[in-house]
Amino acid sequence: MALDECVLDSAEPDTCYLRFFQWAGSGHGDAVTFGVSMAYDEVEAAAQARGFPANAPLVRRATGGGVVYHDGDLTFSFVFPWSRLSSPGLIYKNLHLAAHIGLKTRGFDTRLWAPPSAVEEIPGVNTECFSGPEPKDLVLEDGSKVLGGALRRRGETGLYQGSMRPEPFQATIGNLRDALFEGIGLQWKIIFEPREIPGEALAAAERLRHTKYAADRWNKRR
Amino acid sequence: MPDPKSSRYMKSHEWVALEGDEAVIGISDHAQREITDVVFIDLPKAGRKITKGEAILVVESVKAAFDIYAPVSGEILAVNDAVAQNPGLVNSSPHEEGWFFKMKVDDVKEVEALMDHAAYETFLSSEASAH
Repeated sequence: MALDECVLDSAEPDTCYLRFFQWAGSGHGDAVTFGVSMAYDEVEAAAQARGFPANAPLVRRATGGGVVYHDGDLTFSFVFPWSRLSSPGLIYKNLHLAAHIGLKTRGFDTRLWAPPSAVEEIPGVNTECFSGPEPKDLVLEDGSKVLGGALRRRGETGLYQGSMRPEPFQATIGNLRDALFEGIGLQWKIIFEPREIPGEALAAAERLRHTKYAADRWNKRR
Repeated sequence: MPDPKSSRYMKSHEWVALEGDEAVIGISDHAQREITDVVFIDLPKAGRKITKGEAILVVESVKAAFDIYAPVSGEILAVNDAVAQNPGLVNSSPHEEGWFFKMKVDDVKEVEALMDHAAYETFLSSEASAH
């Protein structure tokens, strides 16, 4: 989370950054992240009800959205110039379409979800990320959500933090990562260059992790 | 109530309505349409000193979270409790009931340097044609 915010704040103009990561742990109950304005107590209660270990980190994201349970999912962040699309709805649509394209090349069938009727698009907040799809979410044919994300706009730069469930695809994390990487490159017309994260950026992220994302003052602020 | 045609604007769509050396701050109708349905606003506290360009509050919609910036430097005098209780006011009344906070401005020249309404409308048109 800290590294995502550091990239968001230091992004160069007209440059996109794609980073894949996983939460450390055994794959069960690794961590919980939740949206920037959610109530900590409610998230804690929901995580416990779901059987997450009491010592699993509960981390408030900088992005909006609901609760995401990280137990073996593929997580990634994408930092981009907001002006490329300028509207959250278009950004979600294009990122999820990118994932759809990448997955399709590997033989996985998905689609962008739309409500059954045009008049039923009722705005609201799903408190749990994978509890049900929102318009333009990526779903399987049966409508179950496989990719969710949340956005933050800071100035002229956007941050998308995404989570993909690997189980429905019976694929490796590496396979899904490659699908996303290729799909985003194609849909957004980006040629990615692999880069090591500079030492000073890692140091800045560690400081931010210590002062913010690992601190009660941030996580329990509400 | 602030008059949108008399307000000044930032490129990031905040508006400033100046009365003497006090100002009311909100976001424009264009911004609320881009943000979509607002569900939460994390307002700053009265008494806080703010610097022009500083990120001072976060607006969250069903789609995303957005940083809102201080258009000018000064001190926050009061926040709009009504909008904190009913964030939808930002969408239904962005230039009137949906204001965020009132502040004492350090230097009114900072307000005068912002875009007036006509310049803001021109800016919006150029942004729209760029997309």
